Amino acid sequence: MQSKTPRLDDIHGIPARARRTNPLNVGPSERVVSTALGGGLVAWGVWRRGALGLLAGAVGGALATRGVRGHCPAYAAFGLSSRKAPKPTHMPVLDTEKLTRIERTVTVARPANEVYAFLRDPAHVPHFAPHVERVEDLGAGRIRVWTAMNGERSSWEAHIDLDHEAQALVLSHAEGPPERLAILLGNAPGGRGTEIRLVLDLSKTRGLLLRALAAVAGEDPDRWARAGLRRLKMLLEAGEIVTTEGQPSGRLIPVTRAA
Amino acid sequence: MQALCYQGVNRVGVETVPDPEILGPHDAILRVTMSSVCGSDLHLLDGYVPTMRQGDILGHEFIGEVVEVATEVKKLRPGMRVVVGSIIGCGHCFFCQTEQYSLCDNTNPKPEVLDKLFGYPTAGIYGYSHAFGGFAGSHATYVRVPFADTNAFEVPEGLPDERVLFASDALPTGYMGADLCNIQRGDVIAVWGCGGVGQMAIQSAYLLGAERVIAIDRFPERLAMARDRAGAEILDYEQVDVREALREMTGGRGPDACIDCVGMEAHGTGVDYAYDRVKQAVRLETDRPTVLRQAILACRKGGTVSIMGVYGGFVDKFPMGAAMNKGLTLKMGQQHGQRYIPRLLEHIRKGELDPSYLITHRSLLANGQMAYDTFKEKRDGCMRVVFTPEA
Ligand SMILES: NC(=O)c1ccc[n+]([C@@H]2O[C@H](COP(=O)([O-])OP(=O)(O)OC[C@H]3O[C@@H](n4cnc5c(N)ncnc54)[C@H](O)[C@@H]3O)[C@@H](O)[C@H]2O)c1
Ligand SMILES: [Zn+2]
Ligand SMILES: [Zn+2]
Repeated sequence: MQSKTPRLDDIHGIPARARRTNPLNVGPSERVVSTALGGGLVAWGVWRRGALGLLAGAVGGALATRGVRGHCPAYAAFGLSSRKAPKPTHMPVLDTEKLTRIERTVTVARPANEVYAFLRDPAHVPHFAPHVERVEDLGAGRIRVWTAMNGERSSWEAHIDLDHEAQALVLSHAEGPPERLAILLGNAPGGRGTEIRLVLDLSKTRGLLLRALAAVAGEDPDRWARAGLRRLKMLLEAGEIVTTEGQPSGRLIPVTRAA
Repeated sequence: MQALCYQGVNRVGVETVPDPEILGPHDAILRVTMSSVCGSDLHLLDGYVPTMRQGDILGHEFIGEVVEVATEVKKLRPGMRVVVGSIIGCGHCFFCQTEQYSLCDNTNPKPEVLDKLFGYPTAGIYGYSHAFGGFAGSHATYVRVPFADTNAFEVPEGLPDERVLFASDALPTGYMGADLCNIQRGDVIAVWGCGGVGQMAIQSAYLLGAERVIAIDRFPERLAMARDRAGAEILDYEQVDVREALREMTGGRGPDACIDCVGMEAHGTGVDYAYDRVKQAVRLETDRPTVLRQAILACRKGGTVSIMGVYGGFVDKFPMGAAMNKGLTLKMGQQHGQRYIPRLLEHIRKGELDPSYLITHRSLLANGQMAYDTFKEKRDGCMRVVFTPEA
């Protein structure tokens, strides 16, 4: 079976959610001119009325918006900018297909080799990954994952790549869109432990991995990712996942019904 | 068992609830022998911490006897008498390892609220709302202590509960308030608030080498205790202009460090107080920083303002210009009890500290409402009411 070699180089960088969707690309003096001109045009349009007035209003509105926001969609389309600022570092884009990327990172006060050893044992996964009941190693780089959500059980198979050198684990599918779930380990500076980065590339057209993950991550894979990392950190550092589930309170105890 | 529960704004009541059970491998169950009210409870009861739920068990300052330990508990054994820090640490994360236990990464099972509000979630606290983990509190016959080896400390033999109880919360909080001031020879320290925390801050400041301590409050019995028990010079802020008085008492220099032991529900006398009350009532502002403003203006240039009184959200008219231009150091935080409790127990054992005078009233859980009303109104010379939970 041909393996999808994990390409880790495109997984590093600043997560999408931390990037501005409309970065500034209009310089300060141009912003003032654009706003003033746009405002003038709108005022003239209101005074002039008619088709020409409407047109002036629309153009003026666009100019003013661009001035106030400091972002020009036309500049963006042509990769232009009138701001004197250093070009941002190139962010890798996945080109084959439109994928949604979810990235979350947590620092754990344990050495990377220990974290890696813990993660690569399939028996540990259900302890921290929400809704995962069991992971079976099928050998030859394949695993089967059993999940349960709202009483619904399912299982799915994935290809797993273990990169010992880079201390990375990557789950992917052999068929369908190039989705993946990657866990990357890096040393935190100053001996503060390990930075664990979880990257989910999910297909908007609902590839296999997403469907499988949807079973466990529900409608909110980001939440699932955060909860999973938080639990993993608690397990690795504190040796338990702290809970208040089952403690006393003065509230009525809900009757639990079998699902 | 019996437990004193939150039932609504300024309403508490005893309910019969199930006994706590071991939920994690590092848990211990304690039979509570004493559990105290604290100024922090008042912020919860007054409705300024919005994640309280009806039926939550209150209380976070307690001492008790271990009755059960989970499999991974190594130091504690059933029968041991222990005092427990009010804020829960895991003992292993970066923050616990650097003795900043109240910042623990791993003890808040419901981190979402604080993650949004504060940027990062902080540690879990017993009986202190769901934002801080929603842990059942200690005003009950039994309480569950997570990570018991990290959070519970054996009481040295021969010391009665009364003397050790406040090593749970009020004493380490006051001590930390003084510790953060980095006290040097000759320093004069001003302490706002003569409640349990303020009293302990005064004594700790002396232990850490302060030359003089000036305490500020308005209740005569509390001021008298600050003077007679803790050895402070006292100021009644309803009788004197605090800033003028402090300036004169310090040879025109101002106090070298100021400790805020009052927090977000400070009482005041000026127009700014009226302004804050109105804004807080309609929730345009969550906290009333009367004391904080005063401390920043009163503090000498280059001095330290140490904030132990609790703030929960946002403040108005914060004198940033004064703080910045005077080169002040602002230090603050929920207490890191586990860092201080061992040395505090040592001070108590040697007789250098005796916080037992804070107990002015005792109560059964059944009289919880009366206990909290008395404490809130500071009626009848009340400093702290201590519950001895009934079985
Ligand atoms: N940081 C922590 O870990 C921690 C721990 C325990 C308590 N606290 C906080 O410490 C504060 C004090 O707790 P406490 O148990 O002593 O409360 P308390 O209610 O017994 O005492 C507060 C005192 O402040 C006084 N006060 C009010 N307004 C004042 C003003 N303008 N100037 C001077 N004094 C004023 C009151 O008269 C009262 O005596 C509270 O905010 C509490 O939440 C913090
Ligand atoms: Zn307290
Ligand atoms: Zn911790």
